[in-house]
Amino acid sequence: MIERIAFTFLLALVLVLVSALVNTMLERRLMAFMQSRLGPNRHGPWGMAQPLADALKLLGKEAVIPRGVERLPYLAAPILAFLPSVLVLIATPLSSRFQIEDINLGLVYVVAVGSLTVFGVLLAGASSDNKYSLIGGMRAAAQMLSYEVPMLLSLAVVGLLAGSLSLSAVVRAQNIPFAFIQPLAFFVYLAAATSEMNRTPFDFNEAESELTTGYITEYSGMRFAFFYLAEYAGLTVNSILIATLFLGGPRGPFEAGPLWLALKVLFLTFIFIWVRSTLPRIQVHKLTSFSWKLLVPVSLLNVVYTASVVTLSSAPRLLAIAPASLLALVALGVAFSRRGRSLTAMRRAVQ
Amino acid sequence: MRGAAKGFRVTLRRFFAPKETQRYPEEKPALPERSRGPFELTFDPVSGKPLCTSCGWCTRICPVEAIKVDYVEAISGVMYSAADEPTLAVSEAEAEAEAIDEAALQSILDGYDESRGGLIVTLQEIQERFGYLPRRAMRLASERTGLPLPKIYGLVTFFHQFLLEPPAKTTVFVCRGTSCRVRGGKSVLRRVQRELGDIGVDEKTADNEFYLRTFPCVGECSHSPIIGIRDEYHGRLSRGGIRRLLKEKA
Repeated sequence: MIERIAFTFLLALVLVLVSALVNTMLERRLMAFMQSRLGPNRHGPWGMAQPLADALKLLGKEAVIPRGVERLPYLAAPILAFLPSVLVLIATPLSSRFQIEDINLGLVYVVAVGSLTVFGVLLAGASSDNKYSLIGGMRAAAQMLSYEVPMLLSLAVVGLLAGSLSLSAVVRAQNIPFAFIQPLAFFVYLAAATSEMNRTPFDFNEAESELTTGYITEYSGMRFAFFYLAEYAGLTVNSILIATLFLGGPRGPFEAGPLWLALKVLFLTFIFIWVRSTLPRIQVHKLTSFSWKLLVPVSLLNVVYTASVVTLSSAPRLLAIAPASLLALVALGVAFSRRGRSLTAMRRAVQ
Repeated sequence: MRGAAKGFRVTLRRFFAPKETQRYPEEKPALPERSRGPFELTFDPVSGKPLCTSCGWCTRICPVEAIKVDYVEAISGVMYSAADEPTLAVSEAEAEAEAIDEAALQSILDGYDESRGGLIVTLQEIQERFGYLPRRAMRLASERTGLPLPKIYGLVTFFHQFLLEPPAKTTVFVCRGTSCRVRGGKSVLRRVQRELGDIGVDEKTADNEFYLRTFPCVGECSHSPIIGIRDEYHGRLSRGGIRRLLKEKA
């Protein structure tokens, strides 16, 4: 039993570490390309050895523990921030045959474990004895209150469509990927995941231009690297989750396998990097109002509607749900840009 | 919402577009003719003797007087006397080629006044009158101001506006500033070059009609990419617009 747990954990750990290294490279290169630059291309073919060089450099750095920090939480925070990625990966089906552990409450488990990252961030902020860190940590906590609710609501939609809370059952239920049946829930989940990963436009707790690097400010060397790894591992793990929940996971046109999953994950990673290099950070309170005034009510209605269709109607789900979901998504976009326009009009009137 | 979509389109297009980065050690930049790099003592591969004869010309031409030549016999093996020092005398042919209006030049130089901008203003006036800075004008300016000629040369080559040889009838500038570069300045330059018969930068057309130059930045970034022709700036020209402009001003 213990052997099995150790093996499971180790396997997930290796997967997460490798993907995090690959992601740092991907992000730097792809972002550079979108900014008309080449990015790091000096080490190895196409610069692929750059992450190794980075890792070596960080390993060689002195691990400073500043005076005045609260030692235990300060030391535990990087690990706590990193662990959830590994734990989430354990429950996701990587191919039709391979899943490290098929938990029958997979959806619940994934959310419960995934949101632990915030505790690491909060601890780091609170124990660092630095105002920037503290503000970063508090922002992380406040931010979680904004994105976690719509995220859960769109997960509920997935559960309703699949008729089960097990992740492998969710994959099995997707003869048509849920992203096509429920584009609204897909979009809401994407936005919430961006927020959970602290990526632009929602990277409030790092916010280099406002908070130096927020909760990471007092960390250096390998402990800093752990936060860094946690972020990039989060990118992969969230992409895997989204692929599993909405894009059919390892299923493809033929022979379900890890290749399809990898392609979907790469696609989603590209999208996230694309978003990062395009959108600037929004104001902190805007996420809260965007989430509570738009995403939550819309997602709630979505849950109610999906539930009623699933229980009452015998019609094919795609026909009953997809048009309504798409319409709601378009309405959401229009409402959002309308609001922006009326704001500009108001500002003009004031001037 | 539309604004955001626009942003995504821009980043995606940049993703596939060619990159601006110059891979430096492999890809050396084409240096302009007037650029001055560091110098080194080179040796004759056969005799092993230094090619420098310690003539001292470099100390004279260096605009910032950064070079000092110390003669060491063990290296050079050749000694030059003061009589061998090059003089600044103008050759007859050169003087003839520069048959210029001496009286006009003299009156401009008489107006030299340190309190209203000094040498640069005077040089601008000379260029306005003659279209470029003749050698003789610079030499007389050196005498008038008491500044050594290399200093004046350094100043003249520092500012892009000064020309050292008679320009063609029409000078065309293409801006190379950051803003112009991002907004397609390179393809504008290529377009102008093609229209003028594939001439290079700092070259004249065969019929001496056009002189093509580039400008570091003209400060009209809101209209970039910029083409300057005579004393006017034109921004955001289409291909047809470039052709029409060149025809019109020829």
